[in-house]
Amino acid sequence: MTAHYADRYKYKSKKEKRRVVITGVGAVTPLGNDIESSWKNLICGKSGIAPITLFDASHYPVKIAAEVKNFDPGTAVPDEFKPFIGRSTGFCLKAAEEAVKNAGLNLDLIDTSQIGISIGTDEESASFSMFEKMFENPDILEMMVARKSAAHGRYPLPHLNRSKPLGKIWPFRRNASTAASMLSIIQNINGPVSTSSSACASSAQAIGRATRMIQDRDAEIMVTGGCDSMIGEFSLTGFAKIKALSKNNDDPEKASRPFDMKRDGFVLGEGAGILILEELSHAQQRGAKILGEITGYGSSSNAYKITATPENGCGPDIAMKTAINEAGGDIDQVDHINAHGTSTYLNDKSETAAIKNVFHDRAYSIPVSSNKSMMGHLVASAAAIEMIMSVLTLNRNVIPPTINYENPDPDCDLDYVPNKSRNKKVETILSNSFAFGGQNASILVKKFQ
Amino acid sequence: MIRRVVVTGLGIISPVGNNTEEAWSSLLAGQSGIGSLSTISYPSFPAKAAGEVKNFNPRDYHIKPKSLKLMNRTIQFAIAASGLAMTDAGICEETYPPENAGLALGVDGVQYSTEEFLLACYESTGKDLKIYVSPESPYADISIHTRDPGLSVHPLWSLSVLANMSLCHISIQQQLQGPNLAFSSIDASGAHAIGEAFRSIQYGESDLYLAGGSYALNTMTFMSLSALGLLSDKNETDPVFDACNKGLLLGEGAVVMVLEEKEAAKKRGARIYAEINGYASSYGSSSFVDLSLQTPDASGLANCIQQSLTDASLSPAAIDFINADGRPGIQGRSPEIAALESVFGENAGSIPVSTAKSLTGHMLPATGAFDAASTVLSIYHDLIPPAGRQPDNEVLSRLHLVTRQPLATPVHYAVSNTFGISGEHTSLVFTKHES
Repeated sequence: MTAHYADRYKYKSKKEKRRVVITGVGAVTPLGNDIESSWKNLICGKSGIAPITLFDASHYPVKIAAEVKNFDPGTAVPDEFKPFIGRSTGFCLKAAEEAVKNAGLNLDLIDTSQIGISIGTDEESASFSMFEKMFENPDILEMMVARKSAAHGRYPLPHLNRSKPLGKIWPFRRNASTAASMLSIIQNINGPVSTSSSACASSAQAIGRATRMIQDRDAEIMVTGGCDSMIGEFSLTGFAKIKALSKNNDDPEKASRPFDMKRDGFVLGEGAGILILEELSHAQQRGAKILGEITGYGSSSNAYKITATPENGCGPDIAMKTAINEAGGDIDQVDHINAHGTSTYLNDKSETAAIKNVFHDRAYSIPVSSNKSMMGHLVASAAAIEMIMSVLTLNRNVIPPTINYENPDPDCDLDYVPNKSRNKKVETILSNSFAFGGQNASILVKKFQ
Repeated sequence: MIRRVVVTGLGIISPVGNNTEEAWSSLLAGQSGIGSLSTISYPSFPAKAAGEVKNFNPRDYHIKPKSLKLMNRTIQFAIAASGLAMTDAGICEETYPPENAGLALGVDGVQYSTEEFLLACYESTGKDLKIYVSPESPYADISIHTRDPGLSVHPLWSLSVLANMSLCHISIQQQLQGPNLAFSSIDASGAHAIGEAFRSIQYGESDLYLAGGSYALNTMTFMSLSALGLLSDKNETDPVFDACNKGLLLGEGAVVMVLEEKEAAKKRGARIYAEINGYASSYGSSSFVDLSLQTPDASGLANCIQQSLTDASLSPAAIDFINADGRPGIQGRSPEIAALESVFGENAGSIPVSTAKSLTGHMLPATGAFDAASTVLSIYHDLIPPAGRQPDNEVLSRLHLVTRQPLATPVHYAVSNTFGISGEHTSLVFTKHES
């Protein structure tokens, strides 16, 4: 019986691990609705945080968030799909359109069964307005009444007709996998599709799995990243209840202050970031512009506490070490760390300790910065957008700052690139993402050589 | 060097039994776990029956009372199944270093119930959601329910609803510090988690994985799926592959399997159920979005099965058992039969086919893991359980569906298919382990 797969092992073991490069990026962030405007505002140290406008937050202890402004999905979402998609899926499709264009991919010319999708996202946040719309929707009510009254026999399923406006169909919008499904339908991608949901580490895991899929020959190209829009009554209630959010309602732009002594929690953000990953020779053959290479990915769990991160950094450091080991294990290669840096008391302390566990004395000479100081915490999409910003850092040799860094904390004593961006030649960047509940992921991205 | 991966432990919490032996003997006896909905029920719900987990007491599974407050039923099922799987595999804390032990689960995205959601909103804003619900609305009774005095949500409630919280609790209880992954498509994610865990061990990221899926019946899913017209209001499931889908009956439970690198498992003398050696996922036509699809496209399904066989370096002729998804067609014949015929050609009618869905209900994210576990058991015992209700003659003429009695036959190579409502398909290939 072993004869069946003997050939395969011979065939596979002969080949080296395949290299994975980034050939396209796209983003919708609180700082801008495309890559260039987001990057420009990021390196200028501009804050995207402001009072909440998406719903009436006056009853809530927290009234601020980093919203995406003036969002228009444009051509990214065909009209017939508009009823099905929520805010976060809209961001995802827009960012994907930009990334595909940026990569110069013509999906009509490529065998799309060799292209996969791996998206990190949570569910569309539930809000009062969605409930209201759901109950108002005559299609849904009518259909439910029909199903209820037809106790026996066959009756047609309520086939939702694409050509007919559906109203706001919240069940579609609420499902986590809708973003990936929509993306594959709209871009006509038929390869492996997956959705990762590990809270704040979701998109890092999605990118990590996408990298593995290319390395392991499950796909040639992966459309990967994440999207999220947690700014709603549900999340605000939940996160405010666990006291994770900053209550600096009077001065929103100063609310997110990672590693600063006076940090008091994170600020909810929303957006999407999509990267096109490609097998190296595939990218070279079609003459693609290569933006960077993913050389390491590590995932780990704290196995510590449900509500807290370990102060000694044990857990997050496993993910960082694993990623660096995959790239040969040399800690000196890391020139910059794009930190998780949420601006909560515990995370920033624990992350600092974890960085020291991995880099020892060298930790003090590595610039560490947190994009969340400007964009807020984009939860499931945070890692993807931070990854994209790191790719731009590699190409443009500018490290974005950690803004609002004013009062040093003795527990957080690294070089956090305070308040002003820094021009520096950067070859390799480590991007960290650590989730509530202790799921960690780190990705190492390198300038392509 | 690609490493080989074996299944050494199974943990099952399901409508047909809360341990592997019980579940397996129910499957062989064709005993259904479907009953009338009791854990959650509203007079207006179209769904009346489901496969509920019975006699489940979380205190039986070494859960600390303090932690229990933070666990919804999905998490409780997952942690129970994980514990059972680890015990079954004979793994203790010293067997593997924690950073070498990973976890991959398929779970529902955000696991709050309607009541919790309404309560939390009520607590934080003082607004009663009843204002949004007319008395004629089918949901009016839900809103009334939430106004019971004395009800409030736990302060840390929002942590319990996140998709990765099952991972958090399990990794603490079992000391797993390696890769931790959560997948959340609607229903293929359990199989997906097992496939990704398999890859991860193959390529050396970790030596041990707990992988599977968990789902507990929840008002929110009922609302979503019935609003989409996907749920049945019948008391029994449709026959498998039926031409007229009257809707799904939901089930619940958790299935977790222990995957280990083969050499390490052999070295510690582990009992090996089967080897896992093929995995593929693909995207096919989505009935979720495209409910108007008249003739569903079978090529996405066929592609998925074919790729998993290629991954296992097997020719279709080698397969001697297919654990099918078996979902009835939306309008007309299920596309899965066409997919099987396109992959297996003239053999399609002679390979034994079965599925447990008509006995358990559709366990959403846990369903792929359940299918995988029953496939593994078929290989281990050389027995194929019957597929519940008798389908019509056309199905029987095209497929060798095992009905009524379990079929005793050597099973060397088996494929387990899970085809998602939302279009994400997963196939896993398992092989008999011969020492």
